[in-house]
Amino acid sequence: MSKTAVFIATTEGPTRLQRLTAEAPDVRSVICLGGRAMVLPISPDYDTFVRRPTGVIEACYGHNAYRMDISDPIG
Amino acid sequence: MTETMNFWAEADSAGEAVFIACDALETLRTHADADIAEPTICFNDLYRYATDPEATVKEGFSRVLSTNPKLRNDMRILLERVAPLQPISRAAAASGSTTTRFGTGFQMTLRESQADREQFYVIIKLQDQSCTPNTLFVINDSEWCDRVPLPKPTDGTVQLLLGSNSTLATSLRDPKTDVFMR
Repeated sequence: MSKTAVFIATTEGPTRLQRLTAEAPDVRSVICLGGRAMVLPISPDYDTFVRRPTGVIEACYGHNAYRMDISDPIG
Repeated sequence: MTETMNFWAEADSAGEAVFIACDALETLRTHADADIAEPTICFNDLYRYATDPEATVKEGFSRVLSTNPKLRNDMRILLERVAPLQPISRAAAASGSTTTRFGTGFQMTLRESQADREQFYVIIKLQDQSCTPNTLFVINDSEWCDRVPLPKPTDGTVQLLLGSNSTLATSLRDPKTDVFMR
């Protein structure tokens, strides 16, 4: 088990980042709840944050599709 | 009128009595299932189902549509008339983690999630980005038909995430399944 935990501050309280996985490039980045097949509505905004031309993650790390699993809903 | 049966009097042993009672219970269950009334489906019901995603359908409609091959075929013919996005080629038999099928104006790919092999993405790439389908119809040759609301496309791509064991996932992996969108 990791000794480090990452939390995201939201207006509804802290949300723990459970897992971050690189997905195939043709997949749109998504934020899912609790490792389940439940895509949160904030996902299109996350994809915009990740993918070029607007995304900074692809510009910095060279990959354009990630899946983030979090413990509690955002947005 | 309910008939009272004394299983103990008919049976030579407790085991036999239990067996007779279970047999009677199974018979009652079978008859109860057979008594469930099938809703009568008319063309208007099919048309509303195919064209209005907000329309409520009769109770049991989905079950009848899934189990009645003639009705399913009627739905397929109707969708060929009213759905602008239709299948051109069927998915090849799944040989790996990716399956692709092509349609008029779209390409649908099933891709396994790297995060969880029990989940996969349904990626629908639309050729015309002004086209915004909101309903996916899934029709299997032999046993299933359903419709699924679609999220809004982003840059001409609609994406769903499904658990591998869901009915929709199983049907989409089946090469004998056709998809329509409108």
